[in-house]
Amino acid sequence: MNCGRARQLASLEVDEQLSAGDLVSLREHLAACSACSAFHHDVKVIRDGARALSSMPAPDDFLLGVNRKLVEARLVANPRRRAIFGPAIVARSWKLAVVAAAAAVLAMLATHTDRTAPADTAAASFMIETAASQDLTLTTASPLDDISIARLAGAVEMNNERTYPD
Amino acid sequence: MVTSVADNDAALVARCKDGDDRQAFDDIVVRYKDRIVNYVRRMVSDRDDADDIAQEVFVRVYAGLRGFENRSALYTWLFRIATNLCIDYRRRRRRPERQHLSLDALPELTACGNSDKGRGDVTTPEQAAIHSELSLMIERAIGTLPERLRAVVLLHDVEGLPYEDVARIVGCPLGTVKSRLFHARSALRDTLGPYLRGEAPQVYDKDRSAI
Repeated sequence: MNCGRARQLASLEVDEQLSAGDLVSLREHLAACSACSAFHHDVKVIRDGARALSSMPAPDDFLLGVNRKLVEARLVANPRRRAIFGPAIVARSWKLAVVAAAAAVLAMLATHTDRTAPADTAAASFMIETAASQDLTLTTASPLDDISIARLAGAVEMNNERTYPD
Repeated sequence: MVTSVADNDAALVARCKDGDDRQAFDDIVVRYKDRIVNYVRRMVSDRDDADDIAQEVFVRVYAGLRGFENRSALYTWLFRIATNLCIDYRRRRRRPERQHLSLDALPELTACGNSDKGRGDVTTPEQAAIHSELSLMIERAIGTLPERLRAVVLLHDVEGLPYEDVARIVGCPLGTVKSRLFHARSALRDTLGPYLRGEAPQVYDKDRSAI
C-alpha cells in the first residue's frame, strides 16, 4: 500500500468506515510509516476538535424574524394588521356598500324624475351624503342607524311622489 | 414506546400540511434554528447575512412544505436548502468567501466557549486553554477551505451527519463525499500543521496512539 492510499484509508478509519481487510492493511502500513501515522493522528485530532466546536445559538428574535419574512413574502396574512384593522375595514366596507346601493337607486329614480323638482332631489342627495359621512366616521361594526335609514326611505318615497304625480 | 426525532418531524410536517398549523411550523423552527444558524454562520462569514439566510431557509421550508414527501429526513432537507442558499449568496457576492488564517495572530486569541458535545475531559486550566485555542484554530482553518470542501467538513465533522445524509445534502455521490472529506482534512492539516507540530507559539500536547 502506498502512502496516498493509506492516507485515504486513514481518513475513513477516523470515521470507522473501513472494512476489516482494509483496517488490517492500514495498520500494517502505519506501523511502518511514521509520516502516515502522524497524518492519521492529526486527522483524528482535527476531526475531534471540529466536532467539539462551540455552538452558536440563534438570536432570540429568530422565530419572530422568520414570521416577519413570511408576512413580507405574503405567505401568511399579517395577524397584527388583521387584528387591528380587519373589523373596521369590514364594517366600513359593509356600510359603504349600503350607501352606494341607496345612491344607485336614487340615481336611477332621478333619471325618471320630474325635472321641475330639483329641490327634493338635492335634499335626498344631501341626506345620502350625510349618512355616508356618518358611516365613514363610525369605528364599530354596527349598521347604519335607524334614523339614517328612515331618512333614506323618506327621500326615496318623496322622489316617487314627484316621479309619478298622477 | 420511544418516539424518534424523525417520527416527531414527520408528525410536525403532517400537521403543517393537513391543517396549516402555524404552531407546528414554529415548532420546526425552534427545533432546528440553532443547527441551521451554526451551519450557515460557518459557511458565510458575515454574521448578519448568515442569520438572514438562516431565516430564509425556514421561509423556503414553509413555502415548500406541501411538496415535502418525507422521503428524506426533514433536517436533510433543511441543510440542503441552507447549502444552496449559501452557494447562491456567494455567487451574488462574486468573490471567494474565505477567511484568512494567520498563525501570527495566535497570541491575540482568547479562549472560546466549548460546547457540551466535546469528548475530551478538560481538567486543568492549561488544558482548557489549549483546548479552546485548538477549537478557535480549527474554526478559522475551516473558514479558509473552498466552499465545497467546507460544506462537507461542516456537515460531517461538525454537525455529525452520516456520509449518506451529506451526499443527499450536497447532491453528490457517496464516493465524492469521502473524497472531499479526505481533501478537506488534508488541507486543514496543512493549515494547522505548524500548530499541531508545536511550531506555533502555543503547542498542543499530542497524545499519539496506535489505532
